[in-house]
Amino acid sequence: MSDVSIRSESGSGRALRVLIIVPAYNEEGSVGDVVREIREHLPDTVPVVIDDGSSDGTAVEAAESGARVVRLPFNTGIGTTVQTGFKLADREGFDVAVQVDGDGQHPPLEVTRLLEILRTTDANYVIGSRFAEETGYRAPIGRRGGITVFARLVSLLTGQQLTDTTSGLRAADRATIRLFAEHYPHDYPEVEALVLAKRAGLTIREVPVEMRHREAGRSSITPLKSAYYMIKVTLAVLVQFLGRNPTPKQ
Amino acid sequence: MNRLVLIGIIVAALVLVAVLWLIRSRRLQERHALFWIIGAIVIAVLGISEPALNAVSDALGIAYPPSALFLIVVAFLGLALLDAVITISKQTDRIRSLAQDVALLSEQVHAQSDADPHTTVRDPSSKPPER
Repeated sequence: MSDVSIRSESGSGRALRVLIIVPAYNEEGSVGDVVREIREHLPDTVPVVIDDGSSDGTAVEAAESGARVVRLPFNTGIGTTVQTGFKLADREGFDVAVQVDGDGQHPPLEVTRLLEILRTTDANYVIGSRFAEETGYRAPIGRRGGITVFARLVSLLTGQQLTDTTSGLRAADRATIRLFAEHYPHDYPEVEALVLAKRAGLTIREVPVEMRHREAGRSSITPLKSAYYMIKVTLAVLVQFLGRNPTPKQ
Repeated sequence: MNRLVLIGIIVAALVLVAVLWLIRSRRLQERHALFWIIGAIVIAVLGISEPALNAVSDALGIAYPPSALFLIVVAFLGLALLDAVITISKQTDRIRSLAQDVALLSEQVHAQSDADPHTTVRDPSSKPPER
C-alpha cells in the first residue's frame, strides 16, 4: 500500500491520504473509465472499486484500470458495499474517504471541491449537491419530487437546510469514517446516512457540483421501486430519529 | 373420551416426538426446542382437558372456550414467528459483516501474493493464494 496523498494548501504541509470509494454492481461498461478518470485528475488519491458481487466483468475492468478491487462474495446492496469502503478506510487509517458512483455520473474534478471544503472548514461530511445552486443537471421529474420531499424531511429532522439528500457524491473525514465503519444504513442509505451523521454530532456541509448523465448501465431506481423507496426511507429516517444516538468509536 | 380428544393426544404426541427427533439430529437448538415443547404441552393439555380450558377461558373473559384455545395457539405461533424473524435479522447482520471482512481480507491476501498489488485481483475465485 503506497502512501498516496493530496498536498495540503493550508500551510501545515500535512499530506491527506484520500481513499476514493467506487461502489459497482454490474458496471463493466463504465467502471474502468471512472477509475481512469480518477487516476488522471486525482493522482494523489487511492481509488478502490467495491464490487458488490457483480456477475459481469466489473472486477476485471476495475483491476485493469488500476484500481484496488474489493470483491464482496455475493450481492449485498449499496449500503453494505459503501460501508465496506469505509471499513477499509478506517482499518488503513485514511484521512478522507470519498464516495462516488460507479456509473460515471460524478466528474472526478468535482471531488477536489469537496476535499477543499473538508480541509478548510469545520465540516466532517461534505455532500456534493446538484441543487445547492443552479447547475446543468436536471433530474427526471419524478425523482425531483422525491428528492424535494426528502430534502424537507431531513431538513426538518436535522435542523439543517440540505438540498440534495440523495446525492451519491460525498466526502467523509476521520470521525465520519469511524462512525460509518461501525454504523451504516443498508439499503437506500443516502438519506439515512445524513441523519445518522447529524445525530452523531458531525457537521455536514453541501457543495454545489456539476453532474453528468449516466454513461452506461441503468439507474437502480425504477418507477415501481420508487414507491417502496419513498416509504422505506421515510420510515427508516423516522425510526432512526427515535433510536439512540450513535457515537463514533474512539 | 371422544374421538376429537384422541386426535388431539395423537397430534400433540407427534409434535413432541418430532421436536425430540429434531434435537437428536441437531437440527433444532435447545433454546427453540424448549419453546416448542412447552407450547405443544400447553396446547395439548387445553385441548384434552375441558375443565382446564374452561378455567382459562373464564380467566380471559371468553364466553366460548374453543376461542380461548385458538387465541392461545395464534399467540404461540405469533411469538414463534417473531423469534424466527429476530433470529433472521441477527444472522443477516452477521453474514453482511462477514462478507465485508472476507472481501477486505481476500483483497489483502491477493495484494500480498503478487509483486504489483494493483493487478492481482483478476479473478480471486479461480486463483489459489500463493505461499
